[in-house]
Amino acid sequence: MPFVVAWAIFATYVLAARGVRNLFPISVFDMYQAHAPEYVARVLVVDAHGATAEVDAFDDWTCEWEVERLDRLEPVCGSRHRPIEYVTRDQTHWIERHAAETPGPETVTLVSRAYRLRPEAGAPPHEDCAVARCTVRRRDAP
Amino acid sequence: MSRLWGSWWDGHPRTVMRIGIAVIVGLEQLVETFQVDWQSRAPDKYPPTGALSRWLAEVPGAAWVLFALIGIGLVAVARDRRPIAGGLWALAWAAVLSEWQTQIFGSPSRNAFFPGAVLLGWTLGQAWAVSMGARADREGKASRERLGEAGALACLAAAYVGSGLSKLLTAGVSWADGAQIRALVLQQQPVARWDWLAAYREAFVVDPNVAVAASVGTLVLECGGLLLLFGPRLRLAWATLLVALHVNITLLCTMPYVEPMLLLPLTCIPWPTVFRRPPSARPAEPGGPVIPWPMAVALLGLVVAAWLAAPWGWRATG
Repeated sequence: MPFVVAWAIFATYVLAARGVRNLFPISVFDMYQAHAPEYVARVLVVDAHGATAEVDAFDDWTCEWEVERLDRLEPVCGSRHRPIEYVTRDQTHWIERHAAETPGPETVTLVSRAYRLRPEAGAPPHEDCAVARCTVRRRDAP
Repeated sequence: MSRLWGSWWDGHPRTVMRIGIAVIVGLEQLVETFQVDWQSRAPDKYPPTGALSRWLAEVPGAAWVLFALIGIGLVAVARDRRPIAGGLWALAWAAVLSEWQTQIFGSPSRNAFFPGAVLLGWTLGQAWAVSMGARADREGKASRERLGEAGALACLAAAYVGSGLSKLLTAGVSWADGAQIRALVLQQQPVARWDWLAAYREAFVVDPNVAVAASVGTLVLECGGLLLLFGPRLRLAWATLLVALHVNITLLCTMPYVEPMLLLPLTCIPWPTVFRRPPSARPAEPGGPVIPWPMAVALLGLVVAAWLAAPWGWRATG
């Protein structure tokens, strides 16, 4: 009996999900279902030595912006720069919540880094688009 | 037929499973409630995009009212008091919360769908037993929860198979070329504070063979989710592999899917054996047709309703 019940409910859920796609509690779980585009982008921090870091590695942000919003980079950086929207939204919130009145001790550049996904081995080539020049304080600094 | 199915819980009360499902759903809904509450109070960043989100934003504490309503249903499920009505009640209010989040955040939380699906399956399985005449006594309860477990596992398996199918139907076998895995790492979090983690992520980015292996493994594990619907040893083995998949995703992309990583152990580890619970008599199989017509109608109706509701379902773009 449980075998029949399980497979009938399994088939029901799969068929229902193919119809409605995502409506709680039914989901087709279609996250990242498509083939990746040739270029993928991510906003990163580049310090004075060229090292990369995440936005949340820094506090006390003051910035001069090149773009209107982090999730609208295309007008300035071009069509290759389409970072995931919720990632840039989280980054924007971090910068806003950790803003400073006075400039921090370190100068960094906020860049959109567009990687080109090639089938060959090796680090994917990338191009950076500066979106802001900022002063910050490194969180793990003494 | 029974040789195809088995459960570590057969002959044991499923109290821990029942309460565990309710607790996991409750914790996930608590997280969703926190998010929706503060997002709805920041309309400049999370503008309401539908009538529901605009109306609920005007109601003070609406997210917490929804959570309280969800909680009433979950308490009923956990205490096994009107569990079918309680499950449906909790799912209905959680659906309202999910839709509200979709309208302000731009997409629903797929994390919440895992526990929601399991609660749906648990509820449908119990409804199946009741429709076959399961009584209100101890044996009837055991029979009801046995089918509840089958339903819960069915929906958990369907989540993984659905995810694998989505990839194959959208991108075909080319999804296995590793590009999406490399893209995920680069888009989500290519930088790591720990050197070992940075090196681990870099291995997937720079070596296409590693990325291909991860892609193929993802498809095999997800599509093989239907193996949760056979015997307990195979279920435990596959659940372990699926948890490993989630751990790897967390390492690569910092996307922790905590909910299935809790639900898989809850439903697939032989807890009665681990805690040396003495077995009791197995419930008798209820009589009547294997698929009672009320359940056949209900399941068919669910599929038809889901297809009719397609215009209101959220669709991924990538």
